[in-house]
Amino acid sequence: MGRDAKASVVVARAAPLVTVAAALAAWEALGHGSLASTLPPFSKVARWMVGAAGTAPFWSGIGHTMLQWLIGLLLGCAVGIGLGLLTGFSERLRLLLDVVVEFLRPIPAVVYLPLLILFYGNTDTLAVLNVAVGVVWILLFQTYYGVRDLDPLVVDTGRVFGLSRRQRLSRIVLPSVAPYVATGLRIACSTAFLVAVSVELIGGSPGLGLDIGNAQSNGLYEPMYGYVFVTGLLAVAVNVLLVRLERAVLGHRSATLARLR
Amino acid sequence: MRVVYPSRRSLARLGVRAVVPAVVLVVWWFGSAHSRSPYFPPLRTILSTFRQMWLFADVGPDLVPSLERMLLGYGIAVVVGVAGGVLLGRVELLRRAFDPLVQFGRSVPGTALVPIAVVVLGIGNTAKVTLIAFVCLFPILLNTIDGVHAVEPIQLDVARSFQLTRAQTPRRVLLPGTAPQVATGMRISLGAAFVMMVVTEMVAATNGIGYVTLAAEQQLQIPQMWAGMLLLGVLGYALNLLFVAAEHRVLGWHRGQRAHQGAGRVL
Repeated sequence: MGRDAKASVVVARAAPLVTVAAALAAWEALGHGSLASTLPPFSKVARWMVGAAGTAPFWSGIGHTMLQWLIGLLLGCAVGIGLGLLTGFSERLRLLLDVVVEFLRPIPAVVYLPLLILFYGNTDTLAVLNVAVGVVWILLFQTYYGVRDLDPLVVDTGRVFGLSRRQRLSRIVLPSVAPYVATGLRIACSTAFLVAVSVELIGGSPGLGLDIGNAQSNGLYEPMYGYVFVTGLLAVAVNVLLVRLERAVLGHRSATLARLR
Repeated sequence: MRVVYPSRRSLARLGVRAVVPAVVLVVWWFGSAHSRSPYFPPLRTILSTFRQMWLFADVGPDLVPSLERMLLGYGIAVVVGVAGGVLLGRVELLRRAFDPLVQFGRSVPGTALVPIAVVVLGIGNTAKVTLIAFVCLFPILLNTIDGVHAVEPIQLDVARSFQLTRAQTPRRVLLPGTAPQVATGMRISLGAAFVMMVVTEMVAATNGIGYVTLAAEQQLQIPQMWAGMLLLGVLGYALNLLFVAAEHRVLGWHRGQRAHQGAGRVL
């Protein structure tokens, strides 16, 4: 029994490695075989990546993408969280903005792209603004629901205990809204990355998306797959990081809830 | 009198709701009426262009192909995602084995894959449908796995004691139990399908709403660009609305059940 359990742990540990190896082997085989004209084998793409890692343009693309991602994210989050707090606390404002927000929310960022290209051309600003437009609704709604979900009993208790406005904000409102915002941030981060790469590909802003597009139109398939691979790895890294962050914040919330009870 | 007040109040609320949209439209209409700016044509021009293009001259050549590609890709993703999700949700070893690939697949920005799809599959429908299906697959797959995990083991035990067959268990116990999670995945994927539809058309296409709208921008046919954006906006909104309505109809029982449980907890 003990040996069986040990064996199944080993199998479970090895399984992901086996599938990844199999996927890369399949890529390698297809690259030498039936897809040879459009898919270079993994070994060649990997060699290109190693070589490119020593060159400036490679890092410049990554830098542009990450910078647009970060600034657009900050801009969109600031506006979204601000509007979320305002609409969360003011019923009148919520009613006023309700229809507009409900209409604009399901419209993806890419819809605004043609207009933004018209104004900003193939610049970093174009990507930053479109990223901001893409994430603003996510943060607006998460913040709004966070404020709405405040337990009135807790707020009143704070008032009864004579907490000042600032104290109520820092001790009651922020801790209870933070988990919602954390979830919003996690979603916004991957959305922002997607939007940044799309804008680069379609609108020609500098960055990984443009690198991928240029490689494709010049028929340079090794760089094309290499850049896509790097883009994917960056996206995975962003996801993993943010899930950790969200868990940290959510853990903090369950701790507060436990204390309140 | 007491009965009148709430209805007056809700009328007033309705009025307040309508203020901002009305103001926006009025300001846009009159503010742009004599606009000479090439970028901001009068709203009247945009609307009449919209009517010429999308009611209904360009619907056949551009709107229909777009929607066809989107719904086909989405449909494939739903079938593969739910089937795969049930499989990976039930068999832990498989889930672990495919985890790295699934994580990569769901993280990689779908738009970055457009050039690959163009190189390997061309600029026709196959490339677009495949890409839409690929991107839509992951939210449905992951949510289905979560949903399968959330089905209470006791429900499966009950199914076993009632001697449901291997074929009956998924249909009678697993699918209803996971349906709300599957619906969440499907809603996220519908948004993704819409984005991928537009993006694939903007990057490489010969027809479709995304293609027409971006081409209008590039040829500085600004009213046509605005009309296309308007249609895309309305479509994005309408798709979401349709999905929510359908979800409400199909999963109404779930909502009722949850509300009931919630009430139980309060008491």
